[in-house]
Amino acid sequence: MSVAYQVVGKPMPRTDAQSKVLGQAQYTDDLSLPRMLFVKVLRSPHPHARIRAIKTSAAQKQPGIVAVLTAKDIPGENSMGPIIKDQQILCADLVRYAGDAVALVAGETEQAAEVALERIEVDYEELPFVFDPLKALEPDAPVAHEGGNIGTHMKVRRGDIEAGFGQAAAVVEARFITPRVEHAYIEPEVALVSLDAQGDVSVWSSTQYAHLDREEVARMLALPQSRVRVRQMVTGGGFGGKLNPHAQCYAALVAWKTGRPAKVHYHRDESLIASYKAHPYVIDMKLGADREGRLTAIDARLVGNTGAYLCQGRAVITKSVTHVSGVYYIPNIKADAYAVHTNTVPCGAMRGYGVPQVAFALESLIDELADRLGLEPLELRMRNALDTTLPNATGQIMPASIPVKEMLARAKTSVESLRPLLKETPPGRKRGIGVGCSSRGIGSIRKASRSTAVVSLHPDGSATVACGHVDLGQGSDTMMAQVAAEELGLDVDRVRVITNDTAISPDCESTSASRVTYLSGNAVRFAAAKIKTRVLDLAAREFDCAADEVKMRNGAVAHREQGLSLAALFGKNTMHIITEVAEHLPATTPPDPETGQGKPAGTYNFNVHIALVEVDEGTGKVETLKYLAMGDVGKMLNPMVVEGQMHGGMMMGMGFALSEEVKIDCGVANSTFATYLIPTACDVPRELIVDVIEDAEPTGPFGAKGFSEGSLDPVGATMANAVSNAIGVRVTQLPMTGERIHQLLRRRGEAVLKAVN
Amino acid sequence: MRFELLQPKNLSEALEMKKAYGERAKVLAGGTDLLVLLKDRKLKAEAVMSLRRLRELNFIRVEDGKGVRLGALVTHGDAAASPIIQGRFPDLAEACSQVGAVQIQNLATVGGNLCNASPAADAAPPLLLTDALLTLASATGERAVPIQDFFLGPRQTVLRADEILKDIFIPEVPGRRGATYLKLGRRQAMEIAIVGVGVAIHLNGSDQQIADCRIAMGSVAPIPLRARRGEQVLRSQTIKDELIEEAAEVAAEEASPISDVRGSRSYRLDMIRVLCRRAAREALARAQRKKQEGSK
Repeated sequence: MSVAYQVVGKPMPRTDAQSKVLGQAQYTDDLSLPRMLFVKVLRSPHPHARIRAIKTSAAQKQPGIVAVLTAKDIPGENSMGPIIKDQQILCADLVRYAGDAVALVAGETEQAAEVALERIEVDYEELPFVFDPLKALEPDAPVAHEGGNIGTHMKVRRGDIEAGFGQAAAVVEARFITPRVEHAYIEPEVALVSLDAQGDVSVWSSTQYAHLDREEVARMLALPQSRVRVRQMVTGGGFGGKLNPHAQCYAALVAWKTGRPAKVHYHRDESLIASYKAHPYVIDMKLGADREGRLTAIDARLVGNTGAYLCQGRAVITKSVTHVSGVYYIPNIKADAYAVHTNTVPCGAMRGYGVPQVAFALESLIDELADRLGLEPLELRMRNALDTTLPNATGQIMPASIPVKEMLARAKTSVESLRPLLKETPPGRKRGIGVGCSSRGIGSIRKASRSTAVVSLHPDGSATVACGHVDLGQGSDTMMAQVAAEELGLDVDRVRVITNDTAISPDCESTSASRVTYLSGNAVRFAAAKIKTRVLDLAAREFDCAADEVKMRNGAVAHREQGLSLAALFGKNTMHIITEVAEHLPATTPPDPETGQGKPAGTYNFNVHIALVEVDEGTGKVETLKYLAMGDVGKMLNPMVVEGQMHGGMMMGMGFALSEEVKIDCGVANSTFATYLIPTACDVPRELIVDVIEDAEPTGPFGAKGFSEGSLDPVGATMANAVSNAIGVRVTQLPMTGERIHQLLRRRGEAVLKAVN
Repeated sequence: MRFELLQPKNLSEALEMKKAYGERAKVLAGGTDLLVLLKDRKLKAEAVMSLRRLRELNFIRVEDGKGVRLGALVTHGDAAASPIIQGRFPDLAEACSQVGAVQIQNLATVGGNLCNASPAADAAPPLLLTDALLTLASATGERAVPIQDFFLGPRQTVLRADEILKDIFIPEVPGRRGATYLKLGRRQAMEIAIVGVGVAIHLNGSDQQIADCRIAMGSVAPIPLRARRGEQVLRSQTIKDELIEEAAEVAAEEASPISDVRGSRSYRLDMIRVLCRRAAREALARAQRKKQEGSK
């Protein structure tokens, strides 16, 4: 099926690129209102404590202080959370991690608020605490969260696990450990809130989900949602970390109590200490295959440290466990996943959402198994790869757009081309090649995901798209404009996309789970198509022809020698605008809570990555010489956006693989970018190649589907396999810092010495 | 945060101000350390004295037959790019080019790096390899302090409250000297050293005969320091690989590293050995190349 499109599939710069490059883009912190107050948050210094009393009078008396607020000042509900609302906006009686919010200070200046913060006296009764999720599972462990430390237990059950391992000729198992990871968006959390004369609340914020800002602010203030309007400002990245509107709630509470505009902006250390992280996992996994290299069974126990609050933990754990078998068909599966509470910074959504951790464990064991069976790692993968006939871990069969085998075949060629470079290894170095694969269901797994779009065609041949999936910098607004422009026969610059205003844009749920292209792309396309049908019908009546004989292009309709501008056509029909609404709700079935079986995603994205690494035997440092990221995206709506996303995801994954690890002493120990190390431009692989496989998704807009998390998913796995291949020892813990690899090399050296003696 | 901003127009004005303010005025050169400390409230300053207008302290100059003098306000970027430094003290150029990233190197000064007195200061080990003298100036006069006597502890130096570091004098080392500085970080830029090691080797005519050897280490003790016993292993010896190994072992024994977020004590000790061996071999090769170049 090859259709020539005018707009989609063409590389074009993002509509926001120029304003950002010129420094003209308006971020929330660029806004300032007359009489605006600055809000600072007092946070718990203890990982677990009871609040006996809070004395605010000394702080209140400080110069320039307008208000000091605590939980008792909240007029509505004191709870928040993107999915599970188990975190108090301001802690009333208990703090559960060092960083939990206790009080707010509103000052005429930020400095005044900072000084007053230190004058608030909180009487804490310190309680026993637990940081380690495995210790938290022990019977006598301190209780980090009411209801017990097991926040969630999700399962996958299929086939007969005993029989499966019984058929296996080789079985491998290991424990894998992954780090707690920070999103490290370039713009920390920020919100500005003001009240108008009617007492309605306006919020300007950096957010992934403007409508959740609205919902939470309204609930906290006991207001109807219709009285809160949120405008997402240009947002400097989210990656899952800007779903829960804590900063928005703090600013809103101050604005509500004082009647003055209020701004909250976190400094980097506050963002690192208090805001959500990616779950660290401890994974025990066992994998078996028969003599022919067919996988027979997998047994996995996934323990995710969800921290003090469950907010998103259940959904992340569900994503992990339903993706436990990756891109492979495994007939017998037993997997148990737990979100475990500890007294640490809460973990929530982050690009990957539980998949990179599982992919690291599974792909590592696939390599181990290949070694046992005497097969090439890619050959073992090929023998078990999903196709249109085989179900994934949830029992779902994808009838189309599942090019795993094609990708693996391409990977084989690439690996062959890299092999000669292994012979050029300099002295003192070790080189290795690694492959990693991943699969990802697009959209929420635990429930169906719906998107709604409103498209309006104006008589001057321009169009407005209103849709609630905010753009965080990934380029979705540009792609939505392309979709509408294609359908309506317009140039992209005639289409304005408004996703950032709750008064205009319908709630589509959050920008998350790689869902925007697939869900909103369809909703926008369907709405635009409805408009097109109406216009063509009107034109057909004018031209006295069939609707399918009318062409619509550049704000005009034509049939043979007859033509009319849209303005003229609209005028003849007393129309000022044509507006249509459409929705997209993929037919899905959430996973069964006891078996994990269902049909949880409308479509899946697949990735195969290859790395050639060089390890310094002296220092343990890993250098990536070549990296190939192969991604399946359905059809590309905008190749420039696709390439940018894949570069970004791949480098984000490189941080997870090599250097990033949030450490806990009492609270977050490394709370600066000098101690929490994300990759720099100098850490990009010497050669980074992006390869896109286009295999149209029949249910996607113009064949497209989501892929943005997928570009991160297999990076940890790929790098671990490459490093393990280089040093001859299996890596089971990320990140692979020089020190960790040095330890593995030393242990290997000692083992070799022992064997010789 | 409020403070008085002092902006002297020349050195003598700066020294008068420093005399008047003493400890109360913090000196601002590139600002890459000071401003971070002030912002984080780790340092309180009544006054900040910016040296920005003191052009007279921004120079790199050869003093014939004696050595090279660097004004304290020379940036790491300028030092790394200077043909004078690259030609005579390539190890110093290497160190300066590994500080932070390009943006930091454009602002941060070599003098500031020394006065900040971080155990990890990259500029310190290469200077410790020489008999560098620091000129400390005050309104009442100047004194020259050998670099090895300058550091007292983390963020502590012998600088008096009324003094400013004026310049750094590096004596010319004639003959066949090779030197290098190796820095180990966890990523390729914007990183503080886990361990930094500089080695200088001076050959005595023959390619195999070491006249002098110097080893300096950063991030392994409260101050950047020389590994004097390690040096002794190689000094006046005929070069042998086992001796280099031994020197590295001894150097590690002289260090007292801590465990922190960048690396554990045991990793640091191992890395001193690794970097020391590598730096010694490279310094030796550089010294040996000098003859070949000279004999052409």
